[in-house]
Amino acid sequence: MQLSGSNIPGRLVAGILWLGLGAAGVWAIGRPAEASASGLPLATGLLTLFVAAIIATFSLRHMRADGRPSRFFLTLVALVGAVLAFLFTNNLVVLGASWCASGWLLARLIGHADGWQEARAAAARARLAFLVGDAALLAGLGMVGWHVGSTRIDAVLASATTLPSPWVDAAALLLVIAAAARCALPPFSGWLLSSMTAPTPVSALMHAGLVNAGGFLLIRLAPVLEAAPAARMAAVTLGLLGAIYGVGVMMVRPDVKRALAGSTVSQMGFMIMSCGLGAYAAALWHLIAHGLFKAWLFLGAGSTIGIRTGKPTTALSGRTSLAIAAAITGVALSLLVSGDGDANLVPLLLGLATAAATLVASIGGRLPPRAKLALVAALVTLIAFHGGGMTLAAMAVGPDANPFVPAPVLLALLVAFLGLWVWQQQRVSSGRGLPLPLYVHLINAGALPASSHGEAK
Amino acid sequence: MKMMPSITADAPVLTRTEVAGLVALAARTVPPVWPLESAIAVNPLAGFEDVPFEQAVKLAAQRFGARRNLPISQWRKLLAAGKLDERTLRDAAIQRLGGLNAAFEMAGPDMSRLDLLMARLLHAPTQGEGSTPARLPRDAAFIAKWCAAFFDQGHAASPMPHRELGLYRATLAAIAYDAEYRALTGETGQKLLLSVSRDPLNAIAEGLATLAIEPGREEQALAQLVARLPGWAGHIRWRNEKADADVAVRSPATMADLLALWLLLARGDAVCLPLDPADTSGLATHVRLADSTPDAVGTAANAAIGEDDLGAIFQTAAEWSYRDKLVPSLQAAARTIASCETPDAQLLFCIDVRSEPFRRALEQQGHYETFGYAGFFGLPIALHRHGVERRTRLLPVLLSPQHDVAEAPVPGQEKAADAFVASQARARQASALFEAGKQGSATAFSTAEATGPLAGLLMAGRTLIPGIIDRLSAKRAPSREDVLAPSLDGHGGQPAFTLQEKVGFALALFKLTGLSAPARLVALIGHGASAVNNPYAAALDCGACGGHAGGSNARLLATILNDPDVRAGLAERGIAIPDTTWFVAGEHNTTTDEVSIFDRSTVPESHRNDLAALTASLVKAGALNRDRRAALLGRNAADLLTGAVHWGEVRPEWGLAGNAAFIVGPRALTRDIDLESRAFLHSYDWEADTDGTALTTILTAPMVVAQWINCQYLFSTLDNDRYGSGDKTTQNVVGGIGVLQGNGGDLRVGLPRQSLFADDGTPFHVPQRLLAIVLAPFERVERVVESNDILGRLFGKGWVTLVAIDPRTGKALRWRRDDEPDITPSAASSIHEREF
Repeated sequence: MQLSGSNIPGRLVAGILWLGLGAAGVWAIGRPAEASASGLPLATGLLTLFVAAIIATFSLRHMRADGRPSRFFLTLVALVGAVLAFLFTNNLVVLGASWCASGWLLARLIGHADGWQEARAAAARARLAFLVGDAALLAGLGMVGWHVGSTRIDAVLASATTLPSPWVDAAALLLVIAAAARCALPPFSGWLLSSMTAPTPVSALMHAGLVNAGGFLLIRLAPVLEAAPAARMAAVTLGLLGAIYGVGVMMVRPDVKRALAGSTVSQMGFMIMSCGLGAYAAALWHLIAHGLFKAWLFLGAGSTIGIRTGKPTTALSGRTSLAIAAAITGVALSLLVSGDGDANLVPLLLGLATAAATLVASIGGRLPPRAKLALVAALVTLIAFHGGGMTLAAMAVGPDANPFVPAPVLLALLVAFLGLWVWQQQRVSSGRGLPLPLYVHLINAGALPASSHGEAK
Repeated sequence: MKMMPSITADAPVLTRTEVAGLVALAARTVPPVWPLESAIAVNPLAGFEDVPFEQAVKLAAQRFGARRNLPISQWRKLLAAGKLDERTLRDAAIQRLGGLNAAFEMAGPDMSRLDLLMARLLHAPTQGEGSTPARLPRDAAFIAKWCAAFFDQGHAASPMPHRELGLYRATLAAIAYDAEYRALTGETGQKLLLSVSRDPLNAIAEGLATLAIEPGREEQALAQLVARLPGWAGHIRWRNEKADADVAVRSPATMADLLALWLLLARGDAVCLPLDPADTSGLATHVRLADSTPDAVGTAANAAIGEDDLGAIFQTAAEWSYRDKLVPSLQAAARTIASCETPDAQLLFCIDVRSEPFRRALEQQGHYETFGYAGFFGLPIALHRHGVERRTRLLPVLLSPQHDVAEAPVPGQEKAADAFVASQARARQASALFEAGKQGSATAFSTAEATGPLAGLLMAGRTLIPGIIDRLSAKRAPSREDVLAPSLDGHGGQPAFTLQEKVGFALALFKLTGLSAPARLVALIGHGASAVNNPYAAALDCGACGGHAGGSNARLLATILNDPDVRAGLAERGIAIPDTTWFVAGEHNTTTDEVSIFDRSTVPESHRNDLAALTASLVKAGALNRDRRAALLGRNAADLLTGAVHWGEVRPEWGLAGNAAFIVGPRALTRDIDLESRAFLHSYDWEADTDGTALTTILTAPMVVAQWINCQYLFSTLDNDRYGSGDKTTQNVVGGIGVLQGNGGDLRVGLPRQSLFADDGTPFHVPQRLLAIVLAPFERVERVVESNDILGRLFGKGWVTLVAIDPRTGKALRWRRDDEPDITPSAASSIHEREF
C-alpha cells in the first residue's frame, strides 16, 4: 500500500501498534494458566492496542492532509503507551503518573487543530476536568498507599479490608470521582460533549479506549471500593445519572458526533453503575464491547448523509414496551424472591429486555416471513456473541462482589431503567418527543461557553 | 447608530407585503445551498453576479467576512510550480498599475512603480498563511444552534418540539426555556417573548421600526443578517425554491422566520454587528478587512494595492497564462480540422472535466470518436427507486423534473430483482432495529454489548482489507444495476414519455452535439464516483444529474434511441439512424476509471463483437487514465482502487479540481491537445446550427452549470473557511443535510480543504475564472450573447471570459467586458480583438 508523501511517523506508529497487538495476542495465548490475575489488564490492553492499531491505519488515509503527522502520530502512540502503562503496572506511582499523562495527551489531541480557537477551548476544558479527576486520583491513591505503607498495588489490595472506615471511604470516594471525571459522568460531561474539535480518529480512540479507563480503575481497585459502601453507593448514583442523562443528550442531538458523545456518557454511566454494584464481569465486558461499538460508529460518522422525511426511528408502541417491561420486572421479582438476584441482576435483565424488545420489533415489522427469520437468526448470533463475551470477561476478572444494596433497591434500579424506557418509547412513537423544557436543557448540554465577539482575527 | 434595547415596539412602518418584498431581496445575498446527498456546486457569490467580478469579491468579502484572495505565499508556490509564468505576472502588474506609462513612472531612485510592485509580488514578506476556522460570535452561534435543531432531517430520535409551527414560532417557544437566550438578551428578552408578534413578517416590521433602521436601508440591514449565517440561510432557500415539497412539510421555514429571530436578538441588544450599514466603524473589528496591509517596501502609490489586490494580480496572471497557451493551440487546430473516416464506435461522455483525459486515452485505443454532452443526456427526469423514500432528481438544477420514472426489473431478472429488493428491505429493518436499540434507555447498553464484537470485526476488515470485502460482497449479491433499470413505463402507471417527447429528447442529442453519422455502435456514458464514508461523495458525482451518478439517464436514452418508432420519428425530422446502429449505455466510474456497460444481454448478436472490442479498449483506456491520475494524487494506480472502497479515505479522487475552460466545438478541435483534465468539452458543429439555437442552449445551460462549478472551486480555494467547508477530519454531519465544523456553528457551504489543496497545503486547484471558448462565426456568437441577459452579464461583468474562434480563418476574438475601453475601430462590435 503506497500512500502519498512519506508519512514515516504514521507508518511507523501503525506498524508498532500492529506488532504490539500481535505480540500481546501471542503472549495472551501462551501465558501460564495460573496468571489469571492478569486477565483484566490483558483484556483491556488488547482492546486498546486493537482499536489504536486500526485507528492508526485508518488515519494514514484520513489524516493524509494533516500538516503535522509527527505531532499527531507520536502523540497517539504516546497516549497508547500511557494507557498500557496504567493498565499493566503494579505500582501506585506509575499508575498515577501514567493516568495523568494519558489525560494530558488526550487533551492535546482534542486540540490538535491548535490554530482554531474552538479547539483550544475544548482542549482547555478537557484539561480542567482531568485536573480535577487526576487530583482526586492522586489523593485517593496516596491515601491508601500511605496507610498501607506500600506503593505496590497488590499489597494495597490485599490489605484493603484492614483500612479504617472513614479513611477508606474517603479514598474510595476520591477514586470514584477520578473515574467519573474520566468517564465524563455528570457533572464532568462537558469536556466530552464539547470535544468534537478532535479529528474523527481521535474521537474514535477517545470513546473506545480512554473514557472507559474509569471502569478499569474501579475494577482494578475493587477491594478498596468493596471496603467502602458509601463510595459504591456514589458510583451507582453517578452511574445511574450519567446513564439517563446521556440517553437524553443522544436523543435530541441533530449532529452525529455529539449524539455519539451523549451515548458514550450514558454507556459509561452504566459501566460505572455496574462497577458500583459489584458486577465486574458485566462492567468489563461492557467496557470492551462498547469500545468496539463506539469506535466503529465514530470512524463511520461520515456515512450519515441523507435526508429522511419519515419518522426518525422505529420505537415500540407504549403498550408493547409496557408489556415487555412488566414481564422483565416479573422475572426480576421471582429471581429476587428465590434469592438468585446478585450483583449482575440489572445488566442481565436489561439484556433480556433488549432481546425481547428487538425480537418483538423484528417479528412485528412488515417483512416477509423469511426475512424475519433471517433477522431473528442474526439476533440469536448477537446474543451468543454477547454471552460468549460475558463468559470470557468473567474468566478475566473472577467472581462478582456481593451486592451491597438490598434486593428492593436493585429492583428499583431496574424499574427506573425500564420505566424510563416505556415513557421514552411512548413519547417517541407518538411523535411527541421530549417535553420542551427538558429538550432545551439537553440540547444545551456541553455547549462551550460562547465567545462574545467571535474570534479575534 | 447605537441600538437601543426596546420592548415597547414602535408601530411598524412597513406593511407585511412590503416586508415580504424586502426579505425576498435580502435573501438573494446568499445562493441556495443544496444538501450533501445531492451536492450541487453553486457560486457562493451568486448574489453579487450583477456587479463586476472584482467589485463583487470585495463586497462579498465585507459581507461574509472573507478573504479576497489566496495568501501571497500560496501564489508564490503556484508560480514556482509553473502554474503561471512570471512574464505574464509582469503583464498583469502593468495592467493593474494602469498601463505601460504609469508602470514605468519612477517611484524612487532606480526604481519604477512596476519594479516596486514586482518586488512586493515576488519577494516582500507576507501576512499569515491563510484562514483558520473562525468561531461564530455568540449571537450567530445561538441562531445556528436552533437552526440545526429545527432543520434536522431524521437524525435526532426526539426532534425539536412544535416544528410544525415554523422556524420562528417553534424557536420562540423553545427559547423561553433557554438559559443562553436569557444570558444574551437579559430581562428585555424575556419581556420581548411575551410581546413580540408571532407572525414573522410583522415581527420584522416591528423590529425595523423599533430599531429605527432608516427607510431605504432596511434591505441592506436584512441582507447583512442573512449573510451572517450563509449556510442555514442558503439551506432555507434550497428548501423553499429547489426541493420537493415533502422535505419541508413537517417543518416549514422561510427567510422571514430566520430574519425575525435575528431581529428579536437585535431588539434584545444581542447582535454583535451594527445593523445600520452606514455605520461601519465597528465592522473592522469583527470581519477581516485586510485593507491595511503593512507595506514592506512602502510607497504611497503601491500602498493603495493591498495584499488581497496582490493576490488578484496573481490570479489574473494565472488566467492569462492559461489562456495564452490554450487559445493559440486551438486556433492552430481550427485551421486544420479534417473530417475523419467512419469510426468503429462513437461514445458520448459528459462534459465534465474528468471525461476529457479518459476520452483521450480511449481514442488512442482504436478508431473511436467521442463527443461531449451534458451528462443527464437531455432527460429532465426524477427517478423513484425501490425502497427509497424520496425521488431522485436526475437533472441539472436549472431545470425541474418533467418526467417521473420508476424502476423496474431488468427483463429476465425478475426473481433476482425481487431478492434484491427484499434484501434491501431486510437491511433497512436491521438498521432500524439497531437504531431503536441504540437509543432506548433500557436497551442501549446490551445493544452496544451484543454488536460490539461484530463491529470490531467489521472495523478491522474495512480498515485492512476493504478491497477484498468489497469484492466478496459484490460476488454474494448482484448490483442494483444488474437487476433493476429505470423504466419508460413511468411512475404511477402512465408511460413516462409520449412518443413525441422521446423523439424530441433523441433529436436534441444530435442537434446539440453535431453527431450526424452514427456508427455501428454508439455508447452513451454517464459518470459517477465511488467514495465511502464520505459526506462529500455526491460532490464527485455528475453535476448535470443533480449530484448523482448518471447511468440511469444514459440507460433511458439508449433505450429510447433503440426504439424503432423513435427512429422513424427522427427520420422524419432529418436524422437517419442506420438499422445497423445500436445504442448502449454505460457509466464511467471517475474514481476507479472502470466503465460498466448496462444491459449487455439486450445487445443484438450482430453487435456482440463490436461491444467486446469496445469493452477491451475501455479497460485499456481506464488503466492508462488511472496511471495518469495516480501521479497527480501522488499514489499508485492500485491504491486508487483501494481508496475508492476505503472508509478512511478523504481524497478518493481530485474531482473537478483544476477546472479552467469550457470549450464548445467539435472534438477535432481539441483531439491533439492535452487539456490536462481542466476543460469541460461540449461538442458542437457550427455548420449544422445555422440559427444558433444549439449554441444558445449550450451557453445558457451547460456553460452556466460549469460556471457555478468553477466559482465554487475558485472561492472555496480563496477562502476555505468562509466559502469552503474546511478540514474534513473535524467535520460533523448534521441532520443528514450537511456538515458543521466541530461542535456547531453554521451549516458549511462549498468544498472541503482536502478536495482543493494538496497534502502539503498548497492549492491543487489554481483559483481562476472560467475561460469559455467557442468555435463559431463571430456574428453568431455575438447574436447569441446579446440576446441573452445572463450571458451578457457573465461575460460583460468578467465572471467568465469568452473567446470566439472563427472556424473559417482561425482568428480569435475575446469578448470585451462592459468596463473595458473599446479600442477597436468599429464601435459597433462588442467583440474586442486581441492578438493571440
